[in-house]
Amino acid sequence: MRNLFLVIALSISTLAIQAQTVRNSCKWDDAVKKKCKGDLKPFHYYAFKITKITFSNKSQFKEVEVPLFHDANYRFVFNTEGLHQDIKIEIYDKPASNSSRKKIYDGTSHERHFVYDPPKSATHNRIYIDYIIPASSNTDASVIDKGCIIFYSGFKN
Amino acid sequence: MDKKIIAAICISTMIMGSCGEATTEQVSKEEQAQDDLLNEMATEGEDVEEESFYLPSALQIGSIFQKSGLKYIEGITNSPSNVEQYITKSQKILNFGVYSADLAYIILNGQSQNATEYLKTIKVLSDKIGFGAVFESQDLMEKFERSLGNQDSIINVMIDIQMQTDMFVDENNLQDVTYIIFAGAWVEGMYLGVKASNQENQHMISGRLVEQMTILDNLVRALRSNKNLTEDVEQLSKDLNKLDKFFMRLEENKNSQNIASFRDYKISKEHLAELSEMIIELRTRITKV
Repeated sequence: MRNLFLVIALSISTLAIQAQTVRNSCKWDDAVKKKCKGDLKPFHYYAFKITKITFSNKSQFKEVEVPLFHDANYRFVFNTEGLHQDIKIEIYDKPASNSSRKKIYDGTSHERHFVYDPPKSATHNRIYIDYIIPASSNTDASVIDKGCIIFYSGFKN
Repeated sequence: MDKKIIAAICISTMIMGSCGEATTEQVSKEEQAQDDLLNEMATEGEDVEEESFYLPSALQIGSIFQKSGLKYIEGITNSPSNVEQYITKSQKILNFGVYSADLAYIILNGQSQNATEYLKTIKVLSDKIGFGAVFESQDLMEKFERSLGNQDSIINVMIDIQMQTDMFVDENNLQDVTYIIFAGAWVEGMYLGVKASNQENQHMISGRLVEQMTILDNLVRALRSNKNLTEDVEQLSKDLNKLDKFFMRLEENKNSQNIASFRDYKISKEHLAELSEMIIELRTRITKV
């Protein structure tokens, strides 16, 4: 009998997990790809990265390390249409673990789509993009909010 | 726990979870092998992102070397005739990277007569490592052949291929595979740099070789993040780590993070010779048939 209760309890908890709705705003369709690719010009495509975010009741931090080469110019294209909640985007010359790092760029995802050309003086062989993600504004516990930031980079020798 | 309970839980979970439609489609052994490879390499869950790595393309590495005066030397690239002799998954993935770097070197040096053969070789390997979808468009091959002889157009086609590969990797959670591909491309890029440098361009090329070494720690970390490392890729990761440690110990590069130009990278002749030897050894191991 005890075993039967265990089965029922586990089945109910499985049902409860499945009842949660995932609301994924991540938008990476052909229109976004075309827009990002177009905005890279006249730079050559270097690489791209989609940072996927699952909003939670706690703020989060994600850092993307971008290796760069000397004597090249770079262009960064950010698309944040796939976020239903704003986040902060900051760019640094050193990683978060380095207290003497300098901030090169400071913005929010509010612009939805923007281009940033880091100044040559600020780009040595690394650059760090920090995404500061606030706690979810969603109060409905049955809904999990997901989204993404699309980052393209281009180079010109 | 009682076996009956486990069975009951599994059955009830399966019923509630609707485990997907059964497929009646017959797949060939080869397709099945590709699927297995993809599944094996794919990370679990779409946003399980422990540490992410952002690595440059073979084309950018090639163009950096070329801008520093690296000339084309016939016969130093990996011969396309070797392709059928790469048997294991790791050999195929690594040499996909090697041939990608070779193709970039050939194109950037205007050797279009060899380019089609290299692209076809890459296409052969792409089918075998589960990347066939990137190259399946007939239009891509035609566009490539039409662009031969026009440097800007062919570079744009290469960039398109790179972009499509990156998107395919992301859509299919194949980042682990792409790190191994990059390892092959990186070693080949360095090898070409070592082999094609001469008295005239050695100062510039050695600066670029040292500059490339600064991304090696990213590559090592990327390889180590792979949960499905095969024995030979694990060995490669160890060898690359050894190379990275050798570089980190060099007194002349203690402040390499703060230098303003690649020309400021310094390396003694002895250390350059040692570095070159390690690169050649690594490349030989990857491409040997």
